[in-house]
Amino acid sequence: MKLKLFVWLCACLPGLAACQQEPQPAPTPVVERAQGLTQAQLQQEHWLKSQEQPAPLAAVSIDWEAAARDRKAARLPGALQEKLDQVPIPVLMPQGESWRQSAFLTQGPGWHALSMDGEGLHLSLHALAQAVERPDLKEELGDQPLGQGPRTSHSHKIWTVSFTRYNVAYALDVECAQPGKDPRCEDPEAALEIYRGLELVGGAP
Amino acid sequence: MKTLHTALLAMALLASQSTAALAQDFSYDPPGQLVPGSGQGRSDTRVYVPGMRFPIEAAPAYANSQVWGRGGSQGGGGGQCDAENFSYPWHDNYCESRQWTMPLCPSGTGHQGQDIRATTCENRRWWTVAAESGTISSIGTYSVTLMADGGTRHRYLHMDPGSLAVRQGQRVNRGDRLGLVSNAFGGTPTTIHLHYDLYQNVQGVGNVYVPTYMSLVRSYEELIGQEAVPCAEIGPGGATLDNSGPCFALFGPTTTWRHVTDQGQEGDLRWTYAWVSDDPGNWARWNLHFLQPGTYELAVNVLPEWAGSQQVPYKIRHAGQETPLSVNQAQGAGWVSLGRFDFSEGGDQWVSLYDNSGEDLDLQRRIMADALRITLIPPDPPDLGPEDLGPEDLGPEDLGPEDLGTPDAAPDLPEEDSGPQEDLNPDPADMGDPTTERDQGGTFDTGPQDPEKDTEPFQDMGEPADPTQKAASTYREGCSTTPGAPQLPWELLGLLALTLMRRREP
Repeated sequence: MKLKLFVWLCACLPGLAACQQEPQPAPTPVVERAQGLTQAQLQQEHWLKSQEQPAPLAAVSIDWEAAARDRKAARLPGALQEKLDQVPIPVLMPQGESWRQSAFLTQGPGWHALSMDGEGLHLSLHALAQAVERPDLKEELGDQPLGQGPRTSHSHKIWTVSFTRYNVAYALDVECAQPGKDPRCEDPEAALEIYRGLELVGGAP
Repeated sequence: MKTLHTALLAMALLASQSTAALAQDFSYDPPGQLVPGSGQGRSDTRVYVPGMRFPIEAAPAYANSQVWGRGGSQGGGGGQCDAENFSYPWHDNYCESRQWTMPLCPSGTGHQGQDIRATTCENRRWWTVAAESGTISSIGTYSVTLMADGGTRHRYLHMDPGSLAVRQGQRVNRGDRLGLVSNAFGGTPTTIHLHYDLYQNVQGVGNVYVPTYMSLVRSYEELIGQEAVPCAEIGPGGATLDNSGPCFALFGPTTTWRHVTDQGQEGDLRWTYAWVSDDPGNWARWNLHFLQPGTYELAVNVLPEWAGSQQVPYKIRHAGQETPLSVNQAQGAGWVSLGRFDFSEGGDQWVSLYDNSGEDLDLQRRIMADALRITLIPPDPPDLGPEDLGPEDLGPEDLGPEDLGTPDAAPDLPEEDSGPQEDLNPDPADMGDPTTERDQGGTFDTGPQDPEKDTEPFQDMGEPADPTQKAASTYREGCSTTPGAPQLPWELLGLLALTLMRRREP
């Protein structure tokens, strides 16, 4: 038994000794070495790393004075008008009873949208009162201001009319219920006509 | 039995890696490179919606042109279900030839978004999902519009109207199902695909359809990096997931991720510069899929030459929670422990590393991403406190050194195939400085840590940092030299055993 104990102590003692050792010195931190990147290369590195980051959002300054001048007295059905009057962004709506009857309002921070159906068309009008900050894109476009619009774009028979009013960015989408048969989705005129008939019907600072 | 287990594990790994090869095969043509003859694209590497979810639920999916692809009106022979349409590489088709105004297109006109085909050419089978959290602001005949909280308008065309899982005004979360990819086009079928576009109001520019391609590429990379099909299954033997393997994914601009091909585990490693930013520019992720729940120790391989950052942000997603920590790679050499974490069975768990450490880019500090080592920490053995070692419990046959010696009282050794071999005999050079071990013992699974306080990584000592747990190594507990860290009473145990033996000597 003593032999066993001796063996056991022999096995344990080195470990015990190890446990009693002084702490090892910390490894020497890596010394910063000159990597040789020039200031221009560093700037390029910074630019590249920024390419896939979320761009900050900035609220736009809504021109409520202009909006007040444009505001019509026409009233919409009570509940809808109440809702529209509480939207903190000027609300535009096309003329025509079918649009007003079917208007469905959704909104979020810095935006609202009206979705409407009638006359064989589906309309959506999105208003954005916030802007994505992309100075490099602005710089790239240089002296090609997009202006106030309208600009018409077309994909898969849906017309998009983009424009800015009261500093708010609006996008009117005009979609045909039967795009293969409806000439209004071949020609931008129908969408532009709806655009020209937009009225300010709600919104308050 | 052990051989059978090992064989099964190897087969599972092989199988998972072969299925994951599909994701690994992903390739894409550069942004702006359209199908020849289909117009002039926009070469724009910006990711306009970083962090978005790929808009189709399942991979693989194929971004290409439905007009200039097979079966399209300009696409030559073949049908829309031609295998070429369901293969990589992806092709950008933003700015593809159209008549109408697109201010960001080189020609001033073009296609507003990107056409995407789902996994197969089956109508009404594959779900689209919300790319970001937001509100469904419009549902037309064949369009669904999602206004995201971040100010981006996402538009989905050609979903089957009868399949829509959302209604106007509905709030959706990122990844929620919207509808099925189909050929719906208001009564006149188109090809089976999703048209997807992004619309933003850009300050000083105006409201425009912005390029979708790189946002889709990045979100797809994230999708296929996830574990619909596990990249590898981690069994009780643990694993080492290298940056060259299928479980590792890089994010952010590829040009700022450097590749070293003659060093690191498996002969290569990745690194990028640390910088100051609210959001990461580059980051990397190791996806984890466990066959069994448990506490695992994580360690990353660090080579001083490629690691200079003193505060690399890491985040570990484990068992439904996310734990941030900060690691001083500059002090690392070899395996640097991230700590121990409780993981659940299955996937949706990962380790991520980010480049926004808060260290100025001018310092040119490097952040390295190489291999991640995962080691199962066996559960605590039965308590061996003195009360259990009393004479009434220990007959003479239990008192020999072979029963009371180091192996029994020390941490349990893993099964022969249950851990990386280097764990069992760590190179002292890899042990680092024990004084860097933290007082709290290294269990990080108790909730989010303050990254500011987590500036010292564990150094791999091959021994448990948490005195309440056992390590899968031959190093004994109680060797911690951290001030205040409890030490197991080896001397006491020895004396107790000696006393008992003497008492029982005939």
